[in-house]
Amino acid sequence: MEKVDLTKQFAYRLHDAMIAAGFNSKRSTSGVCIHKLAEITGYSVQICRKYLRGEAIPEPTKLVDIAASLHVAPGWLLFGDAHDDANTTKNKITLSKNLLHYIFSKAACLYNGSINKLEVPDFLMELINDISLINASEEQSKKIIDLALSSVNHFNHP
Amino acid sequence: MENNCKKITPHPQFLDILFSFKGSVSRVFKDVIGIHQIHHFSLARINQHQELVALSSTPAIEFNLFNGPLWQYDRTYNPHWFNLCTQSTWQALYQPSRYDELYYLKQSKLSYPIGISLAHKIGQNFMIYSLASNKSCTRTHDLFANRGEDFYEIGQHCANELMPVFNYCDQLNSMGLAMSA
Repeated sequence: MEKVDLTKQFAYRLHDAMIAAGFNSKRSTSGVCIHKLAEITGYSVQICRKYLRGEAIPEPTKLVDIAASLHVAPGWLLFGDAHDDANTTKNKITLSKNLLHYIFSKAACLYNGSINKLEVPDFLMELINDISLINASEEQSKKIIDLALSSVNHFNHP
Repeated sequence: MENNCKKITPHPQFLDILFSFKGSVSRVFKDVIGIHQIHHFSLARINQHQELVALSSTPAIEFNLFNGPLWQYDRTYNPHWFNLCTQSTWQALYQPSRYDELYYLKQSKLSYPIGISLAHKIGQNFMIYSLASNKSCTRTHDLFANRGEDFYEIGQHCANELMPVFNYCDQLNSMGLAMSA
């Protein structure tokens, strides 16, 4: 059995879910807006910092509140994919509406570019999946989207 | 952390490079994904200047690892390990002090219960082939444990295909140029 600490795993998922929900912060060392978490929970910043450091897990009712605010399942937030419906989870991607809109607005170039039109949906799905998995701010994600989309017309045949 | 970690330096545009060649990189990795239950494949090249560039079928792994100092706790990128030109499981390469974070970012988050890294020297460069599977059955464990030669060949094939990209990255650095969208 792998060495996996539930409290730390909870912290990573909380961190990821907060970034996916757009609650990232450049000023915070954790990369997420701890004050937003304090607002959601009604707890002090110190307690919220413990959640993000993997030093504590909120009680069940508070966990439900956090999950609802971050648009994720409480079970996933606490236990992760292993305790969720694996098939359902693997077929879902979570991405902020802003980033999805940005990808759609920029993707038009693909249909006018050198890439085979039939390859465009696969390319976009891969890109959306990549963006959903990276721990990055919205600004960083948009830069990556731009780089990936422009890559289609450069270095097509290494 | 081991002192020798300092010898390796990620390319100044390491994170951008992960996505800047996505079109061509994806095409190369698509040819190998599926072989022997491989669901993730990446190449990391350390050149003679000890500079590291990575290209990956799942660039989110490397992005999350190198977007902070966590990569320094993954012995995959430690000369003590890759100088041996050997093969190890990912979990054997995580330093205990940051094991949980590495396991989460590289495996739990992307559903890769099995992962291995293989180091190889080509000329003056070291290549690290990292591959993972989202299967955890006995057959996959056996494949990952016993098909090292095949994985080296797959890695070499990808490295040959992607060599122009690696060379372009070297030029970018030597000319002080930046990636642009």
